[in-house]
Amino acid sequence: MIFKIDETGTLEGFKDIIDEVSNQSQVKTLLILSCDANGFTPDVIDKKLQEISIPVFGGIFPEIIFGKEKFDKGTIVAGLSQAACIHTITNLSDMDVDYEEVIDEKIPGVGNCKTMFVLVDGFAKRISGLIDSLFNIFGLEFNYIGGGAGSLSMVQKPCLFTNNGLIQDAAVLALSKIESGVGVSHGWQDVSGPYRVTEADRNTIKTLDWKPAFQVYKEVVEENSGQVFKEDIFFDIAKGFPFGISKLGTEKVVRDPFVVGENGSLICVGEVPEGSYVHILKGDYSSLVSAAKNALTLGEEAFKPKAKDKATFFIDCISRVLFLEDRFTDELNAVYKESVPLIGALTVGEIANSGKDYLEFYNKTSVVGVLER
Amino acid sequence: MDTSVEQIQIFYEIAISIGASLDLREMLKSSLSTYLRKLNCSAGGIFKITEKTNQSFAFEQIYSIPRKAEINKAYEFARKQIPQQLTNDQFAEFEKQLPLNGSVDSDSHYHILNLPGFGLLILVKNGVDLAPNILHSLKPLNRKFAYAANSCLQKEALQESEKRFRAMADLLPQTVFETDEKGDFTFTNKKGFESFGYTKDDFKNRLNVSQMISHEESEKVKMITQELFGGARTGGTGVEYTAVRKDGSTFPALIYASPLIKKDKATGLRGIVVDISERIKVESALKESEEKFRRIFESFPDLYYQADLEGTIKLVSPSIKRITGYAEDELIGQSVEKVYFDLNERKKFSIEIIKNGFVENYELKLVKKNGDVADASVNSHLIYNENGKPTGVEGTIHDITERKQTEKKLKQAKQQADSANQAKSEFIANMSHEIRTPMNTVIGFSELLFSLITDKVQKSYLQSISIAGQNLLKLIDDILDLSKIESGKLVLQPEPVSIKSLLSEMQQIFKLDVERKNLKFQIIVSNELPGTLLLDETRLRQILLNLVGNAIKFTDEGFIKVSVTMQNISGDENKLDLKLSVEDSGIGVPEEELEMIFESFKQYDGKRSRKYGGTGLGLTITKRLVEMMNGKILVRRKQEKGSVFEIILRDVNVSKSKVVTEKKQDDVETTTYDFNNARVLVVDDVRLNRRMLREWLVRSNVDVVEAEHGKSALEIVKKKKPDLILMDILMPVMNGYEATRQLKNDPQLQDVPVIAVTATLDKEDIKKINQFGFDGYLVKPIKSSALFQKLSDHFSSKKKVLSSHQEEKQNNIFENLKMENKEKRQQLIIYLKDKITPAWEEIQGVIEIDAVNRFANELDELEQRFHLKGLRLYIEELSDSVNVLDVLKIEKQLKLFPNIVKNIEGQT
Repeated sequence: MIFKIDETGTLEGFKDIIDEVSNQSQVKTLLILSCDANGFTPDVIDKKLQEISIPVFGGIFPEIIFGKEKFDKGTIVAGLSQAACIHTITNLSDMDVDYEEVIDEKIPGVGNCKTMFVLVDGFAKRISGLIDSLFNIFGLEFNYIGGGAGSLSMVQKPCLFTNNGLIQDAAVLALSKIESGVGVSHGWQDVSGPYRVTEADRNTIKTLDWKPAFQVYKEVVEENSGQVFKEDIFFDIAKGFPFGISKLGTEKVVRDPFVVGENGSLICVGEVPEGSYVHILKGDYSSLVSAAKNALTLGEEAFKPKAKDKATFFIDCISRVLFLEDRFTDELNAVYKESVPLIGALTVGEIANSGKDYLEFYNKTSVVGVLER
Repeated sequence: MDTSVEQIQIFYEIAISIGASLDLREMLKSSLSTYLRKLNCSAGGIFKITEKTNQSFAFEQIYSIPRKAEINKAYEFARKQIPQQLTNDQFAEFEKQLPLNGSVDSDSHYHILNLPGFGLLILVKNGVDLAPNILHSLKPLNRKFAYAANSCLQKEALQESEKRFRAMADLLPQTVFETDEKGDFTFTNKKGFESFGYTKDDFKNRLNVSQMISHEESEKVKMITQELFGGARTGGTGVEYTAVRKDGSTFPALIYASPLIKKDKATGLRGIVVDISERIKVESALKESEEKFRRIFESFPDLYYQADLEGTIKLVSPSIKRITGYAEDELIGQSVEKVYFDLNERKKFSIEIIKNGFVENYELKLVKKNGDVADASVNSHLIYNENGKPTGVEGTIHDITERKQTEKKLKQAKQQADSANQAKSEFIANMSHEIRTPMNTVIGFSELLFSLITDKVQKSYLQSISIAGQNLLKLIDDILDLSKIESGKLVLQPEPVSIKSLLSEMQQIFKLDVERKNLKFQIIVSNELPGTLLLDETRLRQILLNLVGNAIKFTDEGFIKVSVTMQNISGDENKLDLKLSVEDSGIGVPEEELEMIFESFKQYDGKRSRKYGGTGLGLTITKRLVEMMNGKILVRRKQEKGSVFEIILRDVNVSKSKVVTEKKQDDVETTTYDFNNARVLVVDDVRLNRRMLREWLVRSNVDVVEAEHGKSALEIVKKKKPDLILMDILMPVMNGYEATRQLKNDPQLQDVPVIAVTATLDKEDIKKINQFGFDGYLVKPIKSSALFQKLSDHFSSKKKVLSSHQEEKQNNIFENLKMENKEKRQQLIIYLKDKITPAWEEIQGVIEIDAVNRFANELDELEQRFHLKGLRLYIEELSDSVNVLDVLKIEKQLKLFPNIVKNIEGQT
């Protein structure tokens, strides 16, 4: 596995490193992590993507990670020495699609798959539906790692790389024989709750305990943060107070509210089931950084072939960057190891499973994949 | 946060998710995923307990997450802990053991939990296992899970049932519907949409009963609906109304509805709407057809009836009144026996119709209401049900009383006519007999006297008497013939006939007449004509005699020409059409009489009749005979003079056998017989007849004894023991039949030959003569030649036939051919061969008298040169034969000629 980064974020730079990596004979598949700030659109880069003769998958994220640095511009190209089987699932917001049927049709067999890379349009509405379908079909047969692509502008746009071009409202599944170990942790703690989600529609919490969700949330957050929600500054405050959905004996599944919707509803990244109980969580610097560290540890523990060369694939939520700000470097340092190359992306939602837990779509969570090089 | 609170929340969330759907799969999918997600289990599965046969149970996995849960080692291990099949007791025992918990590796744990009343739940938890208290707390959740799953099953069963109901409802050819209490439709089937033209969208957007009822009937339907809701009317009764479709068109409908009752309250209506357009059309057509049938039925002149197999009348047409006097209602429901005149006839009728399935023109008698009897002709057949079993009888009865009466009258008339005809036939037969008997005497004694006297004048008188007698007999024969033809008793008996011989015979018969009138008699026979044809010779001869006789009779100068030609039209070489024409140069048939000439007793006008004489029956008989021979006869006037009678006989069969020429009676010469004092008994009640026979017989040395009737004959036979009996038939005291019967039954007398002497002779008579054992018959008036021929047949041992005149003459010829002078003889032979033989060869085949005369003359010239006695004798014999036109004799003598030549040649 080889890694290259183009920090210019230009089309030329993009093309160059693709050519550079894909020309390597041992490279069988390309994984492309690119920055939203590059401004790549289908008409600009589809031609190049379609020219690539080996399988390609990847996404455009708010920022990318290479080594122990994050970049808000540029492109990382990883050349995988194992040929991956890539499948594209489209219409990821269509309420009528039965993804189990689609996956059954597209992936009749998984062969000797060890790791499935799952990249989704982070603003698609039925990510959880796809994740549940994957788990229903494949269970814990292999490890899952991936996350949501997209832009911090919160506008859905083409953000997934395929051999056919740049696409949106879709998911790209890359089945690979690469050995992996996956660790997941977030470090957010309860502040208030539980609140019953009395009304919800997929990723929109309408009411909590029969009250407008924002009203409840505002009350708690303003009290705990000492800040007051004003127009246009919702996420600045909210980024520190996500919702947490309880699971028995494990960390809560975090749901990140990113905008206030109609009638005081809160729109989150990821679904919040009606009838579920949520807590309002709060994070602090040390818990988050140590959670990232923990994720690495878990990933390393789960990686079975100890002797092999490893690389770290770090999927971390962009909101953790927004929350930690400059201190995010510490989180990177916690995950980075000198001897182990690290690439990653700061995502809109994370997907991971180490082979033990129920497969989830996470928010505000650090996912560390220890990959066989 | 308090862990227990959190657990409660988690359980609550799981609980909320359970039963969110009533579709089992959907329910399991959402509930189990929540269950597993909330407990952070990596796999789980639901097993349903199913009762198998013999009260045994088995757990079947019906859902799992992931789908391939078995790849999870702990799950697979847990699954194997579940018994495959259990008895009732084992099942109870197994349930008691639950939950079953265990681990695979240290990190993977399984739990088999009871879903009471439904089945089992397997949970697999990785890492930290579920605490016992949590597992315990899952019990109510699992109970809910089981309940929800069972609810789903019930719902599925219900849905299945509803689906079936809907499918069945959709198959129904009528509209099925349900409404709520406001009359809004809540359900209808496919036919409902089709019949009324509404769509499913229309249906969803609320459709009310009032939209489907015509405005005029809305009040009526409203009232009925209220009655249904109020219980005043119960469902099941059909109400006809006019249904309105979405497009405003209407159709007649019949609606059956009943209230939908929930908790003792009517909450809507359920019913069926039947489109009765077709029924109304059919009813109308049926009504029309019934009306038509009724009109026909009522105007039916014959009687139509239907009855069951027991004979109970089910239906009769109104014509029954006219035919039997009974009104319809007087007979319907009654037994058919009421109108049967004879109950045995009913039995026969029943047997017949059961046997054949029908009867046609079956005649029986009916008894009318007033007791009169009517004749009826019945045409009936069995009626069958759809299984093919007979259920009754239907048919028509035609009153044939009038016809029967007419038939009866006709029968009586026929019987009368038959008996009159019989009387006529008998009269004619008797008359024939009565006339023939005296004629026998007249002709017989004339003949006898003719041979005894020498005075020419006396002889001419006798000849006149004889001719008159012959004419009278001819008249009688003609009358008899016509009578036979008319009564169909005359049967043709075809036999091989030589037309040439027959025509030669005509020439011979009419020779004297022709010569007397100085007429030329020509016979022309086509060379193609086969030698023999199959025809009734007697009747053909009769025809020729009539036609040639007439031609000669009505021709005073000129000629008579008989020509015979043939045609083969059919292509069958064994058949031909024979054309016989008799042409004369006589007075001819007047134009106006051509058509009636063949009618009985119609002759030419009186003057001619008087001049030419005749019975007037000849041509009538001829025409009838020709027709019987599949032919026709035509007559036409010749333009110059005379007439032509043409006979065409169709499809005459060509005979392959040759004509056997019988020895002519005339060849027998009485003087050549001497019966050596043989005794003959002559039995006849007429003395003159006995005497005539005696005169003839004694001349041939016969001892004659006489008897007056059969009875005296029997006595005389015993005493005198005659060698032969000549027995008359019709005699007083005892007739000839009876006498002969008794003779033939007497062993001592039965060998005496009995010859019947009868005045009539037809087929019946011959049959009777054979039956009674006669040994032969003679027909009155008896000709001497026939008598002696018959006697010579029976007296062969006694007769002493003097050497035959013919043989004697022949021997004389050959004895006198001797020529001593060799030179002369040689000359003679040359003459014979060179001149005479060619002339002889010319006359072979058809014998032409002129040619034979020429041959005889040439031979005569030769004899005058050579003076050979034998040849002279031959010439004289031939000339004699030619002079009497005896064709047979001519043929015989011509055949001798080669032998004469050979004889002369052979002399040394």
